[in-house]
Amino acid sequence: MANDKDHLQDEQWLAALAGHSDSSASPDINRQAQLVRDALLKRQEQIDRIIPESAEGNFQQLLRRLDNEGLMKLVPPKQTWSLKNIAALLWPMPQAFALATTLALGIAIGLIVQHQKKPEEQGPFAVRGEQATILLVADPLEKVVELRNGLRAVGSSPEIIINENRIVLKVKQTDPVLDYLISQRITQPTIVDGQVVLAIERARK
Amino acid sequence: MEIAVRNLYSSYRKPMLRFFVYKGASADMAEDVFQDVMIKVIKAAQTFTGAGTLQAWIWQIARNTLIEHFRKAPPFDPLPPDDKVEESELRNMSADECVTRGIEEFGKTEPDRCYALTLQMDGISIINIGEILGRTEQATKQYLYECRKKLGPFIEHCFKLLTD
Repeated sequence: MANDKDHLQDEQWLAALAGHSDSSASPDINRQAQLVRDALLKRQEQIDRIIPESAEGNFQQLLRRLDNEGLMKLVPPKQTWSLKNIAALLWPMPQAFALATTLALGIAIGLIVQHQKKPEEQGPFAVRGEQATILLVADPLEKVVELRNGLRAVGSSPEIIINENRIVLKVKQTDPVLDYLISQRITQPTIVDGQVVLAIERARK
Repeated sequence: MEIAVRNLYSSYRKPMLRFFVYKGASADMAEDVFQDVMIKVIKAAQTFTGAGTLQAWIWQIARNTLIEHFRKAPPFDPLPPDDKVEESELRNMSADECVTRGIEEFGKTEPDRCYALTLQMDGISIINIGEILGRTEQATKQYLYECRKKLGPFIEHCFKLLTD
């Protein structure tokens, strides 16, 4: 029982630390957690001051390193994209082309890097796994609703399973479904038992 | 391709740099480690099975890459050392000043635990904290309970300074 009580107090303290004080907790717990919260915030601000805000130079350096290692083809920024060249972009790296071959051999995993039309519509970093194609997005719930509505519009009935750390969307593989997914810049999704399987996760900012 | 890499870069840069600095990397080292992580993630995407979450996989690469860098250059205290505080000075401190000092000491002695509590303070879910630290949900919860206990000796004396 003492253990349960300790854990209840731990939970209350952790909740207050996260800024969600439990009104049924002892005032001391909430007050102490608040002091720790303030101190951790100060420390985080100190640490953040060490980290440079601007990262463009470092990002360009990363692009050069990727390019030097043959991991990337630099793409003209204002090129107009058709579905065909979007599809070509999905496998832009020599390793990924090799991977396409290994896929046929049964080692089914590949990196899919997707192109987006506008900065505000920046698409997910997507990885095609054996069990699902995983999409990293800012708001998984918003994304799954968008996909569900689009899939319904092409006559499909997606199944949606919401877990704590990801949302899984399964839908029967049909041509209209695949066409719709291509229009959403999700090409060659993982197919398991005739079903397209997407797992949507939050990209933590 | 460039936009997708930029997406990945901007999503992970700040949380990973923070993580590296909390663990004792300099700002320059943190940037180097982060670049290495990005390259490894893109190179090793073929090995991702999809069994766990992508986030957990990326953070695992980040932790391992940091360890590799620390083998070459050991961690150091990211924040400048404080002057030694006299007993009399402690008595004149407010509770929040005292806790702030306690947290600084805790961060130097237990950087991992300090970082875990910072993630909790930031409102990150237990599952996501677990992905960053490489622990299961239950183990993360237990770890946070232990963090609270370990923090105790650094700040308990401060609560005597609280006024009603």
